[in-house]
Amino acid sequence: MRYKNLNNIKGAVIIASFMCIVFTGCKDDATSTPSCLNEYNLSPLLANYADSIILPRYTAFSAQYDELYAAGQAFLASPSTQLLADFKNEYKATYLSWQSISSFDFGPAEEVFLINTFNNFPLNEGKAYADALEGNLDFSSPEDYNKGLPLLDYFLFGLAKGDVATVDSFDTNKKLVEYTQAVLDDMKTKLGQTVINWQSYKSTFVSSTGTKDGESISLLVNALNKDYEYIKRNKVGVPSGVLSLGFTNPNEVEAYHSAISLELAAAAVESSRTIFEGIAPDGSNGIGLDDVLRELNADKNGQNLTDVILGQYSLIEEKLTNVEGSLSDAVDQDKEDVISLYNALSEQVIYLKSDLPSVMCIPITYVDNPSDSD
Amino acid sequence: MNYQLKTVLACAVLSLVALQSCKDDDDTPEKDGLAYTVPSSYSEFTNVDYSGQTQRISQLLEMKTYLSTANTLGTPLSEERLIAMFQNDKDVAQWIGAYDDSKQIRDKTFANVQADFDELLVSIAEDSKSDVAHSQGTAGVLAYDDNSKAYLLNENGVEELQIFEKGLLGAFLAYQINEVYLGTDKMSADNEVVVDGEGTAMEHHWDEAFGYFGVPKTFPATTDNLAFWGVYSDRRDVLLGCNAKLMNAFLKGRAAISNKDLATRDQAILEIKKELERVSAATTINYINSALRNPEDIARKGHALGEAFGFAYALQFNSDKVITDVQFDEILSLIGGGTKAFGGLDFYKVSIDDMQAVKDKLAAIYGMENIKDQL
Repeated sequence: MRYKNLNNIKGAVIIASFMCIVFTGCKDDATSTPSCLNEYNLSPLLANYADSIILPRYTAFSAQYDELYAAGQAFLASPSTQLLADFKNEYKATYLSWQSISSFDFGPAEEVFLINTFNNFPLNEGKAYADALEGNLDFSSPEDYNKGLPLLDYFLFGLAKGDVATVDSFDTNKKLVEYTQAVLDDMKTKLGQTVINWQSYKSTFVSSTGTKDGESISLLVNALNKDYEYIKRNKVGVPSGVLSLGFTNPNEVEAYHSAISLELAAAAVESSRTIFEGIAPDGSNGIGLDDVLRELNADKNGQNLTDVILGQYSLIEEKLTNVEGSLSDAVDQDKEDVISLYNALSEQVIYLKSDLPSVMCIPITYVDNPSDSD
Repeated sequence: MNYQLKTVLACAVLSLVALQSCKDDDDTPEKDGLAYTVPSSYSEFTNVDYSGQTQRISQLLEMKTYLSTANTLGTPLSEERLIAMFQNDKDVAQWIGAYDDSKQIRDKTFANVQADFDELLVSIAEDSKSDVAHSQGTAGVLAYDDNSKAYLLNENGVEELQIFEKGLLGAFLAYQINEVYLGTDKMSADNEVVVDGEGTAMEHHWDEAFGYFGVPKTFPATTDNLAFWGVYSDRRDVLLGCNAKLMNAFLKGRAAISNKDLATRDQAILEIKKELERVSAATTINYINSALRNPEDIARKGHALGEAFGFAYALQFNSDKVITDVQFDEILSLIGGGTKAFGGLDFYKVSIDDMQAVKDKLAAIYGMENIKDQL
């Protein structure tokens, strides 16, 4: 823009600023609401997240993981099709349950790289298989894609054709048994550390009531967004081909061999939504981000921001049910619905990653998808 | 909810924002053009380095030269050497030039199609062992009816060397320019810290994109050592005026980055992508015209349609492409039943009507009706 009347504009700004100052001055007594969280009492909110959501979810997930671990040990000790069926069932239940805690990548979980431990996908199958044969049982690098639940997806559903052949593989190749056990142990150890460390971390979390980088609400909102973008990009975007000039990547879906990608995505979206709403596993609705936005009268194009976000979650959930068959098939055979799902997921990023943090004065500090250079 | 709602500094922030934006306007001089000078040559920029791109272009030229030796009957190619060249495996590639170990073509090729290009090399190497002339169903070398040129054709009359080379103009060079270096990630890189010899990270990425254009810094005033896109831009320049359009956009964008003018940079990105797409489309028409000149000449058709298919295939490596996905698939299909993955190309199936249809459709999509017969 080229202002010919800069002085007039400056004048207007000065007047506007003055009016603003006057207006601010009046606010103390008025009932109008703040537009920012700076001096907001976040304690009840953080307590609800810790007591009613995060800890119960970890407890539930741990219990589920114990089931998986036990089923895995039983199968590995004496492989049979019956025990394989149990192992597979527990794998699926665990993968679904995992979606309810993947949003908590801060504090104790971040310390042990819990996300990388459980769900680095797509698995590098060649490396995983080679590591198994070589007995390479070092899972300390978060950058490795040879472990976690994706490894079970491959070994239980994709390594051999059919259950009999799978049992046979484990029967005849003790390296597979050893590797699978090590992968189960790795997850168990890191999950255990996370859960234990939350006992002491909880008071830190609840008492850190500012909004700055590193304070609890900022950690929570950043992690929620990071997880949400993982849903959008890794679970749907990458396979759909929208990020690769229309070339689809059907075998890069989450849980490719067990073909439960859509259920997992639905669980992840539900988890994201219920975190936003502050809903506990027992269904009780406590103080959540949604309530804060309402208190702040956060507005998006004339509509309440909370309603916009909840409406978008519903739309996403509807789009998810539209996708037919497994996601890896749908990216080629039901393109339209998959891309429509991706678009719905993308729209929500604006509300969650831009509008919500800006209203709440929370800095978004995580780096999405760092790219390589040359 | 029983929160304690306290006042915040919304208004102060608001007025700060207002003052800030006012100040920004104040700093920008009144102007219609740009507040900085765009040089007329890339050599006027300092801290420019695109040696990695130059090396890969040189590798591709060596590959092309080696592949072309198979156009003489009885000159088999080594599959191992071709694959080694594609991956810069020095010990087997027998390079003439000196290249850094880290610089290879294959890993810079669009990930989803790398294996398609491997397969082409395997197929070309296999066909090059043929000791008979090409006929339908049999791979081999075949000369033009007038004996002026000869090419190695596969059993379906396809000169696969062209699919490989022109395909990589898209999947490697155009992809790197359009989607990697001028893409969102690289164009979000730091633009403050100047590295000696390379400029800022963003400047460096821009220079790397320019490096893949394959022209001298003083282009189009000088046209020495043109490579790949540089060559075809120059050939289409008379009818498209694309040399200046492309070069000016590269110059403008680089100057814009150095002057923190990202809006102008974004304009330049779109101009580059648009013009590369037009060069590609016009060149497809050009080769269709070549095939139409003597559609019964199998070797000419195999060569020209190979070129045409490669340039049409290249159109897709552009997220801002003008051609729609449906139109694109139709064009590829008309040129021998081709797909994005090359699958089942057969130039014996291509009729004169098919070729005419490709020409007319592309001319309509790109507004080239007035020049389609001259291309």
